[in-house]
Amino acid sequence: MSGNPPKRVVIDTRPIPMILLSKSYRYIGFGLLAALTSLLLSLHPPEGLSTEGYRALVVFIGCVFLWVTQLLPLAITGLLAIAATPLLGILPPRESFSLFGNDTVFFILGVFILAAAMMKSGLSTRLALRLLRRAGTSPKKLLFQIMIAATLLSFVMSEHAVAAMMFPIVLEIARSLEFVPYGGSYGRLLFLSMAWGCIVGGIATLLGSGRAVLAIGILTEMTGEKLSFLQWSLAALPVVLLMFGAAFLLLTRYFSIDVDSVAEADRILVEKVRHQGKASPNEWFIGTVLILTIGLWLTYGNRFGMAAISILSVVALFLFKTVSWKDLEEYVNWGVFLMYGGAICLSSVLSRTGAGDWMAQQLLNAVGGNPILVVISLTVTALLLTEAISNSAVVAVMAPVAISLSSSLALDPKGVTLLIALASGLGNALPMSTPAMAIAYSSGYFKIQDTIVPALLMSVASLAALLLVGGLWWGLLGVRIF
Amino acid sequence: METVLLVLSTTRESPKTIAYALKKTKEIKGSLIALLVIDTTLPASIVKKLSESGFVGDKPGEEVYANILAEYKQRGEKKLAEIVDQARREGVDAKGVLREGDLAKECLSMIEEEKAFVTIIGRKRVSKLSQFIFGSPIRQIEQNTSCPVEVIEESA
Repeated sequence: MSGNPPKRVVIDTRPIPMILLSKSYRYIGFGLLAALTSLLLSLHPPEGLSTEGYRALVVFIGCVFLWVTQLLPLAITGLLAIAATPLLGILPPRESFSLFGNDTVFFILGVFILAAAMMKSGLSTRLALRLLRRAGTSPKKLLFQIMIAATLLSFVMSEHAVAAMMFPIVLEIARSLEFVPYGGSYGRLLFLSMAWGCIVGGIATLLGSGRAVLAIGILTEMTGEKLSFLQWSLAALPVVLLMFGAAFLLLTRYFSIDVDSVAEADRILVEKVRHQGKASPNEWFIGTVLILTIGLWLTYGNRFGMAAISILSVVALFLFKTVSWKDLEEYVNWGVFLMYGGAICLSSVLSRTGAGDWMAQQLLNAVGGNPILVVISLTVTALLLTEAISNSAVVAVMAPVAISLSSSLALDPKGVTLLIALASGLGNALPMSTPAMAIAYSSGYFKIQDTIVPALLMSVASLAALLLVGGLWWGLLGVRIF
Repeated sequence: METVLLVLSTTRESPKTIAYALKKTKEIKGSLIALLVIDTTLPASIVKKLSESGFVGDKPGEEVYANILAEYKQRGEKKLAEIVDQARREGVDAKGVLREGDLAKECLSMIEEEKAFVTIIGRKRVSKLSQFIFGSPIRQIEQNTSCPVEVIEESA
């Protein structure tokens, strides 16, 4: 008699309670959340808060728990937020689901599709290689070029996608220089330059990451105020410049450059550029559409709406067959719309029901109402949280609270939104802080402990840069932080 | 001829363990099999992070996964070639095997396939608490095979 060989069974030798816990922690977490939610919903609302407001607050707490623990994917928690609103009678179903149709969601749709077209056509890799090619044989210049390539590309496409795209190039550079994991300092520098470049560049415009758009979406839903593409970029660029300088200095001072020449890496880059040949008509077209779209966002974004321009660009890409629907399915993660739609819906519900203001008042009663201390505390909290949880989750959790606080303290909600969104993008110590760091860490060229001190210094530099630029420069753009 | 199984992984390949395995093989006049298991947990978690937190599509995630695995494989093959070379220089019959997956499972399969006489594996310094919570692949190997397992403390 023949058959497949029996599958090897390996007996788990951990203590039984630990095995049970590891298999069922998700259900235990949900069970606790459900029990706590039921308990809170059975209580009377506190004084000064309507029943709808109280229920909205319970939903918010539940979503914060799920976004932080990631017991559910971020996107599914977003969906849950939308569904919970009518289920708990906070808003009628039609009104709840209409909040999902926010123009921010459609703006992000266009941004992700443009980035997908850039990646699919190879335009992003071409741009990266062109920038890297300028390094020559100087090790320090190569680090600078890696960092600047990652930073500049993150101006126009998601910083996470830039890290994914640049990783094989940097890996090949490291290989060409015959580095071994943990074998030298320059190997670490190569990958950290890439990751930190992505992180710093990702805060520059609304294209570098969805969280900036999410923050603006929440701001608009809660206060009716807006931040244009131009305003955002002008506010963020000085921070980017300062952080780029700080990151480069810190990396090259903290880690030694222990190679004399990177001639072999240069040879490989020259070969790669040569192998790529001339840009295809597709690449030219996508590049032109991107430039025109950014131009329109900067000049007519307020008049026509960012989302409309975004969608127009997508139509142009399809009209000239530069991308197909299959390409989009491969390069775009549609979960982003659910997460952002849900977070914006939730912030709107908090605002409409008065729960946001009530929560802000309670926080102020507890910690005092010094606006300067509140602004600094919010920025520090965002910088710390982003080291441990998803950047978008930090914005989804903190922006509604911060915007509510700003109205109670007569602060400018636009300034507070900028601070939270920019700070939430500057996590650069741990692999779980951002996908760029996780990708760099997977190279095996550095250990987590190697990055703790420089990242701590970067966090201090981030706080200083945000407060300095916010205090001195944003005022000229009509945005205050104090 | 008795077979000595030397078990290595992406993060577990100390010279001390390799030297001990060679010494042991010479002592018993056996042959050496160096098994290097590529742990796919880290690249898989990065793809998950790219998708769930970074909202990057499947294709870039798959490409990152493939790049990381290719790099680990290349390093693994190089390491195994070095060990086999060193063994042959010392007059020891040796071969290298590269596998992907769970360290304990792959090691136990290899013990069975090759009817290993003894298994040698390095242990990184990990706290008792961490072992209690996450378990230890070495303990899993020890408790699932009758083949003697010799553990070399890598940090000692």
